[in-house]
Amino acid sequence: MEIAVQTVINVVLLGVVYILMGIGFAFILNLLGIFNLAHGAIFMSAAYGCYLLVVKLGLPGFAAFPVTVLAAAAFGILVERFLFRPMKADFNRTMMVCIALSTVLVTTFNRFLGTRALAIPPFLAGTTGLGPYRVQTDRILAFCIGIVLLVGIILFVDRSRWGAQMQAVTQNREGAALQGIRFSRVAMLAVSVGFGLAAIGGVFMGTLYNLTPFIGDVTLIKVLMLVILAGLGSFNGIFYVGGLLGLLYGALPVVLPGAVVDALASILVLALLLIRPRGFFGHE
Amino acid sequence: MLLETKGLTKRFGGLVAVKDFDIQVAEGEIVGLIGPNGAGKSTVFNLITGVFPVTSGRVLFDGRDITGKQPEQVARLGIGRTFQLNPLFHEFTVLENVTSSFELHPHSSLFDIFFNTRKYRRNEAFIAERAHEILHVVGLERVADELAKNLPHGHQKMLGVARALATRPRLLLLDEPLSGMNPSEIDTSLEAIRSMRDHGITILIVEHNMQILRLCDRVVVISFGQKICEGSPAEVRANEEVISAYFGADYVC
Amino acid sequence: MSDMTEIDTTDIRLVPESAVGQEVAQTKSRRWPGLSVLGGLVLVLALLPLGISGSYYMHVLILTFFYVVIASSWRVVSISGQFNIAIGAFMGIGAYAAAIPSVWLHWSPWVTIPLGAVAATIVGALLAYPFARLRTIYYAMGTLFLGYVVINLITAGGKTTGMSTGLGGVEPLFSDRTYYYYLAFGLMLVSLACMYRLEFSRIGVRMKAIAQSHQVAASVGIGERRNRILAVAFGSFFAGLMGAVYCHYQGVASPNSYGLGATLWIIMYVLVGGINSFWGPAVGVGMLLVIPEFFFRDLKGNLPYVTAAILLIIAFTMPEGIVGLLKAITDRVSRRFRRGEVSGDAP
Repeated sequence: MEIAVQTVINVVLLGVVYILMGIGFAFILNLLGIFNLAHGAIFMSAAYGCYLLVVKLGLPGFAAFPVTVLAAAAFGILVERFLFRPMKADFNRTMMVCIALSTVLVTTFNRFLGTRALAIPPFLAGTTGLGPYRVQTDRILAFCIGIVLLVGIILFVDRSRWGAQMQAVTQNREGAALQGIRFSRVAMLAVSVGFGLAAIGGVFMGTLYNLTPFIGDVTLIKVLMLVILAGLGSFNGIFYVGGLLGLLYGALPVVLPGAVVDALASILVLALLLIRPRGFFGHE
Repeated sequence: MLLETKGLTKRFGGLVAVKDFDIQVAEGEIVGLIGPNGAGKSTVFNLITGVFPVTSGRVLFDGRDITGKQPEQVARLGIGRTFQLNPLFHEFTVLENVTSSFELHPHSSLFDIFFNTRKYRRNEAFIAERAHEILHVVGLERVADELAKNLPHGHQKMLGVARALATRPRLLLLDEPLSGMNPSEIDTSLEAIRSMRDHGITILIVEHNMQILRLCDRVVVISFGQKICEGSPAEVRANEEVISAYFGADYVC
Repeated sequence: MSDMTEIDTTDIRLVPESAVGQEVAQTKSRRWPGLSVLGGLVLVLALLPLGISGSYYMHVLILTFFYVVIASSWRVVSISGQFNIAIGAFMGIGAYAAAIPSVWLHWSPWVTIPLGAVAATIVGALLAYPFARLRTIYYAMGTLFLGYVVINLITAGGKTTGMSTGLGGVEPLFSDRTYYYYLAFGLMLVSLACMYRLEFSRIGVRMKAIAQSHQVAASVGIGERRNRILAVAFGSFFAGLMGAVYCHYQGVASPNSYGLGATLWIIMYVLVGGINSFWGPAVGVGMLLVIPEFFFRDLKGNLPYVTAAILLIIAFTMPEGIVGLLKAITDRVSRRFRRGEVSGDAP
């Protein structure tokens, strides 16, 4: 039975990670028209960054986590200003820039930490009794933080002024400009928030699973699945589809070998895409 | 009848764009399909040419049922058309726009093309010659090597017609050929359309510019997806329902 | 009704005679100045093994020939408006269709290589059919997932495919690398000739037409679906062929060589060289593969920084890639030259 509790926690955590990544990716896509193929690399870098802060600098996890996220968000501002903006949303050129960026990040971590799997030490050691079961305290903590973040991001998108501005620009760029929303500032904010969310996802994954320089690629594909199935331009869809992907990748590995899960899940996604090319929640 | 639709209906979700629409076009006629903006005129074209699948009803061309055929099959049967917006291949030159449109007569098979057979070379030589002739008659020969996207609007429309002519259609569907033209361009265009008919091409025109009435043998008026009136230009002009349908709409006369 | 009436469109007067301009069509017989350069390059590459036989540089050039074909085949698919992110997967299908019978059934490479090419073509054409419904970014993403599916199937394939470690022991074609050099070189020349023929014939015109507007193309009888399927089948034939030869050359088929990363680099070759030019992929491979391997080899693990820097430089300074920039320059020079000629003639 312990495995059932463990699985539920995994499903929720994976779902939250995918949703955070997907929302961040969608911000950048909807506002800048950029398919940020470096999203996976940012995710991976944040996980490694947090690992370095905790293991090499000896920072406690609770301090390293926000530092990593803020650093990623600051990095996002630089990337938007100096890499994305000069490309003028040209698909091919932004693709080159994103791949150059992710090559640099992957190579750097590869050079300094090697390809062997690492893990961020648990923020809280030990296990906790949860009714009759014992679960790692760290996971329960992550679960709680995940739920809080999920609620937070929903509130951010739906209720906050910034979230409203982003949605306004998504739906109508010129109209938003007429209302005095400065596009360049919103774009910068979008990339910053997007990278920050990716960093949160990266730290989460880094505490729960092993780290290699290649986790970014795998996660990027899942984020793309999520965003496409949700329908470009849909934020609501990301929550539903993110939950579905969390369920697939969190629960199926319990009963099936990993390679088979990947194969089945990707075939399912491809079939869904062929049935509904524009996704399930888009309003196009 | 060369073209005939029976009970043509198109629904987009809950919206009925075209309802129980019947139209007949006899060989050699110029028929106008007019109506206010958003009345479903272009939808009718797209249903005839297979761009949209019909919800119900049938399209007959020369007695053959062509309902549900793909657009390129419809073109192959002899229905040419122009487009209201973006009527051309914008990255091609003007000349390439016309040569690439010579797809059906003569047609070259993949084998002939890839292995550059004598038949293919003969076809291409013929096409090059005819393309220049067509450009000559539409007055675009001087800009033959310009990129199509650099042409002014009126010339783009002309190029759209040239492209359609290259398929050697029996029936030509013109989608708002007069939109965005100045009065002298309109006169030229009307003259050109009449000249095409004189050479045996049957013509169905969608317009909301009422000047087209000067040209038509017969007019069908459509409003909110339904036919409200049909007859000679004079009859249509006098019809009260037509006037009320146009009242308040951008009525150009 | 009457038979198909023969309509002579050329007689139709669309404008008054006076409005028709004087015929000033000057047929520009611009002979491609690079033709001799190309011939020289082919000659040098054909004689090169005499000098570098057996060395590492020969290996790099063999790889170059493979990737020139694969990148060009990706571009052929792209001219029909399809941004295909599964080209690596088609290489993989070709490779495994050759490797599996070679390893487990000990078939001759001369059978398995054509088998790989044909398998990739058939799978490509069959898959192109449902994918013809998808356009633009949805097509790109669909093919990206398709590539992912293929890699996952290979990885989940058990002993037959060797799972994620790859399938080793693929029988080599030759023992001497020089033969591989000439095989790859010859295949490259033939493949490029086929692609050149395709692109600059009416087939290529059809593909470029549907890429610009499938509706306008259909209105003159150019079918979207069949031309898109043709482009994919053609492209995956060469990808599969090269994938098959490549795995016989390396002796191993490994899923890493065919995944998303590999595909994205193939696309990078094309974008760096210039997606709108036939020679773009070849130039891009030269820029991103040959130059780093030949001149920056000492950097070893830092080599990716060089390629990333090249990508950034191109993205910032040459939106149309290297060949695009060269074209723009030569166009400007020749225009100035022609203008000079005209003004020189004027009294």
